[in-house]
Amino acid sequence: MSNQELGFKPAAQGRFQREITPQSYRLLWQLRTQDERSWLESAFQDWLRNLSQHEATSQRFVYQNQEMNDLDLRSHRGSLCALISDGEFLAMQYLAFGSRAGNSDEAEATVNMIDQKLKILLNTLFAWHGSLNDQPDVPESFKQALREVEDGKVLDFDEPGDGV
Amino acid sequence: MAAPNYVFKKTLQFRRAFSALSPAEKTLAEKAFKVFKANPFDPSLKPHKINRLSSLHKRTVHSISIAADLRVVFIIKENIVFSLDIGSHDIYK
Repeated sequence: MSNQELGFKPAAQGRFQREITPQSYRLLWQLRTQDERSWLESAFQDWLRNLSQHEATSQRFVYQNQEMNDLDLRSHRGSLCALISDGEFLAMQYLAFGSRAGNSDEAEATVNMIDQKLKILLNTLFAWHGSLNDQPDVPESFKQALREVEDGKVLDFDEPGDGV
Repeated sequence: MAAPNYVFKKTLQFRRAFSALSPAEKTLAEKAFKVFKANPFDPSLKPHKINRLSSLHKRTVHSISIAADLRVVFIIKENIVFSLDIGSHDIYK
């Protein structure tokens, strides 16, 4: 059953075409109208589609955007957090379903797939929105230069004696 | 709109890195610096933003290309251009 059939308004037009309501809550509402396995599978496919959409919009508005602004970064962070939240909730639902239905192995296989995607999402969140000093792949020389700026350890560009 | 009246500064890291360049690279760099100080965003310097570092630093991090694999990374605070480092693209990747 679609969100509109359930009485929800369509998502606002924007760069990230996600529902305003987190998927985790939609799952609970949809549970009333579908059998559990169907809505879990449907929710998993929705989540995978959201991941693909997130990747495409991130490429366009963040990774390859030379006019990237704070709103783009905030949208990127928000989208990552929402996908992580949805994925965690979905994994919990799968584990609970597997336990109730007596087919934990099948549920765990899906949870493993979710966990692989979650790991990528968490790494991306850290790599783009974490602490700069904690990034293992950012050169120490760059971090040092920024610390020098913060500490006021800078020179006039044309300072004589060093050839610059 | 008039170009901002920039003040140019460099970090100690930048000075260390510059000192380590080859004589040929220093010559290329000095030539580019004349353009840079007139306009850090002169198209001949191929200015571009380094998005991930900008996101992490919460301020735009810029790079210019002096030669095929000789870059300068800098940030701007108000009207001060801080040159952070100079070297190959490894200085920011």
